[in-house]
Amino acid sequence: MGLIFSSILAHPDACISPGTSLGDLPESCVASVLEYMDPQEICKVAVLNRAFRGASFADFVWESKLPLNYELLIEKLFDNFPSNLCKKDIYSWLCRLNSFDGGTKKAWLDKRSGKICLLISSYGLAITGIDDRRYWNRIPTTESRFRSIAYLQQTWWFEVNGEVEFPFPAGSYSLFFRLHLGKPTKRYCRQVCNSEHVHGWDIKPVKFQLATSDGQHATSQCYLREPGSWILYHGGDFVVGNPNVPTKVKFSMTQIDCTHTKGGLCVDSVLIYPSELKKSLKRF
Amino acid sequence: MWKPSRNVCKKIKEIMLSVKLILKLSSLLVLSNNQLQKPLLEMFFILFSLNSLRLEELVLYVDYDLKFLGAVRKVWWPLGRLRKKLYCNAVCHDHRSAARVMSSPSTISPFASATHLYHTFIFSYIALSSLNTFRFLSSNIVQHCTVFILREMKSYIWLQTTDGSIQQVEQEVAMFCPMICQEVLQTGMGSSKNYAIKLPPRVNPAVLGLILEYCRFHQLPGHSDKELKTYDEKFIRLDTQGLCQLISAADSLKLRSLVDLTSRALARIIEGKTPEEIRETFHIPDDLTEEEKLEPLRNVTGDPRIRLLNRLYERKRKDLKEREKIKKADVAEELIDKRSVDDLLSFINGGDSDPKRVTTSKKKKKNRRQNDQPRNITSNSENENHGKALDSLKSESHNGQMQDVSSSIQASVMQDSPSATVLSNFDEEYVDEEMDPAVMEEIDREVEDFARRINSVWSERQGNERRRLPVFIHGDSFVARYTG
Repeated sequence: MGLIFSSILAHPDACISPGTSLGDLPESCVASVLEYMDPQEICKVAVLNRAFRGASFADFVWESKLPLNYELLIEKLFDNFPSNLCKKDIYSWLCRLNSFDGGTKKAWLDKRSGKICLLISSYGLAITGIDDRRYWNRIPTTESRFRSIAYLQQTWWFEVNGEVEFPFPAGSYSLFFRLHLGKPTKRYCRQVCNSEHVHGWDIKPVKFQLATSDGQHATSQCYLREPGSWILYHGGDFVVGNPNVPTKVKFSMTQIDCTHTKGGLCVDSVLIYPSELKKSLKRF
Repeated sequence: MWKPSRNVCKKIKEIMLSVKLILKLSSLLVLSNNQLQKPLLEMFFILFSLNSLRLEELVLYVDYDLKFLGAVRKVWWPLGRLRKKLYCNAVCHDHRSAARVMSSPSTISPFASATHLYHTFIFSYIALSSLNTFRFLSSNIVQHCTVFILREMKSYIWLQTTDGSIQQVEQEVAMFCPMICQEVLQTGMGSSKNYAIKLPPRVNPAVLGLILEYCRFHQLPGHSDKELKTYDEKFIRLDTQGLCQLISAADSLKLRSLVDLTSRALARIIEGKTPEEIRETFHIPDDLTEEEKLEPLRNVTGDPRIRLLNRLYERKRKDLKEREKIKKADVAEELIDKRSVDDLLSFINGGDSDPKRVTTSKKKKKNRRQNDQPRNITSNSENENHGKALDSLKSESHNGQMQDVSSSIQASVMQDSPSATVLSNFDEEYVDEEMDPAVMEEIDREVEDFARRINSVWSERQGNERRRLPVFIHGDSFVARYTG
């Protein structure tokens, strides 16, 4: 093998004939190259020349970026989806924050990796006592993707449940609760956190539970801390094996020790994120 | 021994009597021994017709021509060592069909031992064909089997590159390329120097050598996955030009595995670089015209950002078109500027109003500025001269039209409040659905402010120096125009 390469390297002129470079590649070859690049790289490179531009519209390139069960996803997320779109457009549709289930949930594809992310608003959660204005209030705020959060003034029984049935593509996912200790208010046009009523979270930890329709369970406990900033509390992980069947995920967050009251908590949403991309979630 | 059904016989006869096929295959075997020719020929018939025969028919066919089997014996016996290799490569999944073959009456025949290899061969084929991927595997298997049979014959295929040079390559190596394989099987070319297969233009001799090395390594069945991987990684260590040549040659020869390998390597090279860097490093000429770059994006999702971007592109396109038109007009006319200083000054005074609008360059009005330029042009289209005048304001060098310009502007624009008039002109004529009234008002206010400031400066200057030219924020081209 060494002989072969040395013979080739010995005649460099013989190898390289003029007129063949990256710019001369036919569109089909360029498309094969693009298949191995990220979607964002493909778009960047599409301005290079005509062959690259044409290749960036190739269906098979984008089909490899879409999740395997994208047709099921389209069915779930959109009511009347145009059927004559090229795969690139389908990808861009799915990358938007698509609302479904009456606006209580949002789903989108992560642009770089093509993995699905899900966000469930406080409207889509079953919060015990949400209708009782002594305990819970809904505050409109710009700090939430859903423009309103649920604020807990005080309660003995803290329980937040939720469930979602979604055709997740195969892979492993992590569930997070987006919580904030302290009431966010606006003073002089600036966001200020009012931590006066935060109490009771350091006595006992909050219990997080997760269960899926195919029998996976996860439980964890955690003290809520750091008033004044939005924190994603990890609720559990689950793995989806079969993308063709919608997976049902049930999750809950409870602190039902009735010896003490707790309050001053904002519940924004529940985030289901692919586990591989967890590291990019420093602030959400 | 059971008789095959009439349908099967008919089918087999059809195939065997297909004259074209015989001719094609015999050209393949022209170098082979006469004794080997007939049975090998019929062997090929089996291979290529297997796709259309069902499993049971195949079993029957095995028994059909004992004479054939007898002839095969002489061929297969010395090829006993190939049997082991066949076993290694055949994945036996379907035991039932294998048992069926083995229990068929032909196994009791006197040629049983000699035809064992033949049976093994068919057995492995049947086993593989009972997998779901039969359709996709079959052509590979055909190729594979062909390779095995032909290896002992050491025959060569002749290939001709575009520069005219003809070389001969071992058959099994060349047949690894689907395109060459197809050529050989369909047209029967490549069997001699005179009938060499013409390779596609993108394959030059050097890169052909590389590809044949790749084929030579990969068509040998004994390599482990790790060995193949190491070989591939070493193989791909070429510079970008070499890789490009390799990928286009492999693409024209339809060698999918090599195309994938090379694509991955090229992708690794390109990714992470900005388009400018790539253009510089690889000397890619930018063959997209300005117009193509400004083509509106398909806004399928109703994204507001794309909508704005498309509007911006529209303005830029209009701008481009106007510039082109002016350039053409330029070439036609070339008059000399003979105006007096007074004319110039009055023209400048009158022309004041337009650049003012242009020079409102607040950050968020960046888009608007683009608006302004074509707006200036479009809104005055009714007065052609005036329109031309404004065009010349925006473009580069044409002293020629100044004469017309100055007079027309003097005529149409009042001296005391040039800005107001021109503003009102604009407000009436221009229709832009994206400009909501609030934004318009803001622009108007800014422009008036600016106009007031400029006017005060001007009146001061007029007293002092007549020849002094104004320096506007975006007046670079403006200044150049008048000093030139």
